[in-house]
Amino acid sequence: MHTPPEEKNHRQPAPCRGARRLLMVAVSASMLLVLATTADLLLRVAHQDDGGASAWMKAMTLSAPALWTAGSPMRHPETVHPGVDLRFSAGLVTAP
Amino acid sequence: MISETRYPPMAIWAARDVQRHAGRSMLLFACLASLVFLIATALLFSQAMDATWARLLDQSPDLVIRRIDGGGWAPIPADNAVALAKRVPGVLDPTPRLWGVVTGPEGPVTVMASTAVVPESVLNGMKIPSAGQAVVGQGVARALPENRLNLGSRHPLTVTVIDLFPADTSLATHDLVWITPDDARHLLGLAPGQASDLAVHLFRREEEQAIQADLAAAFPWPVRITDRTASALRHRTQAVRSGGIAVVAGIPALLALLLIITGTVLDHTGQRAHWGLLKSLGWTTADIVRLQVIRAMIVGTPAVMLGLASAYAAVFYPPAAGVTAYWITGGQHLAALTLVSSGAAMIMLEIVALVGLPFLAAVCLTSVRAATDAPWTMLQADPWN
Repeated sequence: MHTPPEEKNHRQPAPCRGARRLLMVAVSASMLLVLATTADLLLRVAHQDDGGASAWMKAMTLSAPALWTAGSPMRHPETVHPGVDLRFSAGLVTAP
Repeated sequence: MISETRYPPMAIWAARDVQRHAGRSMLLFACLASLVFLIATALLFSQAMDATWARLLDQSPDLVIRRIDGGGWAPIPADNAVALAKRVPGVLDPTPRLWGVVTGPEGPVTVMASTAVVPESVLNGMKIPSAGQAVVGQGVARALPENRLNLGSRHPLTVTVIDLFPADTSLATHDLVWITPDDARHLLGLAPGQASDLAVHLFRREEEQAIQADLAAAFPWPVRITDRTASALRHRTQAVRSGGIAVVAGIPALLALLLIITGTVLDHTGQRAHWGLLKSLGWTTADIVRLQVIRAMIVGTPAVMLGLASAYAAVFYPPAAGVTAYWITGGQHLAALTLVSSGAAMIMLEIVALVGLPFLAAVCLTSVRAATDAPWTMLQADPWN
C-alpha cells in the first residue's frame, strides 16, 4: 500500500517510540506540575484564613504574636527598658 | 484520529540518549529534585513565617505609650491619659490596656483584661469571663488541675477557667489569660482608674516616628513609646535569619549539586569518542552541544518542577506542613502559615535560576570544551583504541 510522503515523515522508527513517550511524559509532567502549583497558589491566596488569630490580636490590642515566652522582649516589645546605648560595637552582638 | 505532537528530531535523539543511560539519568533526576526540595522548603517556610507575622502585627497598635519613673514602669491614670492623647492631631482611638506578665502553673503567662467590648463575631460563641473567672489559651490550659488556675503576682489570684481560646487562634492567644478588669487590677496591684499603658492607632501610619515627639510632650510625666515598625523589623530579622540558617544547613545539598556537575563532566569525557563518530558523520559542534542541552533539560526540567511542587506542598498543605514545621522549627504546634503569591512565586523563580542555570551552564560549557576538537582526535579517546 502506498503511504503519503508527509505521513511517512511523521512515522517514527520502532526504537524511537519509547523516546517519544519519554519526551511526552517529561513535557506533560512539567507542565502539569507548573499548572497545579500556579492554580493552587492563586486559589489559596484568595481563600486564606488565619483562624481568628488576627481578630484576637486586634480585640485584645496585643503587640506581638505568642511565639516567644511571656515577658520576653519579642512577646512584649513594650517592656524593653530604654537603656543608654554605650555598647562597644552595636553590630557585633548581632553578627553571625 | 488523534494527531500526535510533533517533536524535533533532535529532542527524540536526546530522549534516546537519556534512555541509553537510564541509571545515570535517574540519579541526576533524584539529585536535582531533592536539592531543589531542600532549598525551596527552607526559603518558602521562612518567607511564609515572615508573611504570617507581618499579617498579625498589622493588627497590633501603632504605638504603645508607657509611663516611666525612677523605679521603671509605672501605671497610668487611664482617663487622663486618653484625654491627653486625643489632643494630639493624628491620634485615633487611644485605648488604655490592662495587662501584665504573672506566674502561671508552668511559667510566665500574659494576663489581659479587655476594657472594650469584644465583638460577637470575634467571640464566636465563647463565654466572656466575669469576676473570678478566666478564659485561657491552649498553652495555659495544658497544666490545669480541675479548671482552677493560680496566678502568682503581688496579690495572688485563683480563677476558674470557663473556656479556652480556640486552637486556631494560638498564634496570638497561646499564653493568654483573659480576666475581668477588676481582677486584673487586683492581680497587678493597680488602683481603680489606672491602666498598664496606652495603645494608640494613627490616622496615617507613616507618621509613626514623627508623632512620637508630640505624644511624649503631651503627657506631664516621662513616657516610653514603642512603635509597631520596630517590632515588625525584629520579627522580619528573625524570619530571615531562620531561613538563612536553614539554607546553610542545606550546604550538603549544594555539595550534591557539585557532584552532579562533576558527574556530568565525567560523562561527557567518556562520550568524546562517540561524539567524534557523530562529527565524522557530519554533525557540527553546535549540534552536539544542542543535543546535550536538550538531554539535560529532559531530565532537569521535571526534576526541578517536582522539587518545587513538593516543597510548596510541604510548606502549605497541613498534613505535610506539620512535619516540615517540626523539622525546621522543632516545635510541635503548626500555625496556619500565610501564603503571599508574589513572594512564593519569586522564591520559586529564584531557585529555578539558582539550581537550573549553573546546571545548564555546566552541561553547555563542558560540552563545548569536549566537542570542539577535530573528529580524529575525539575518536582516539575511545577506551578500546
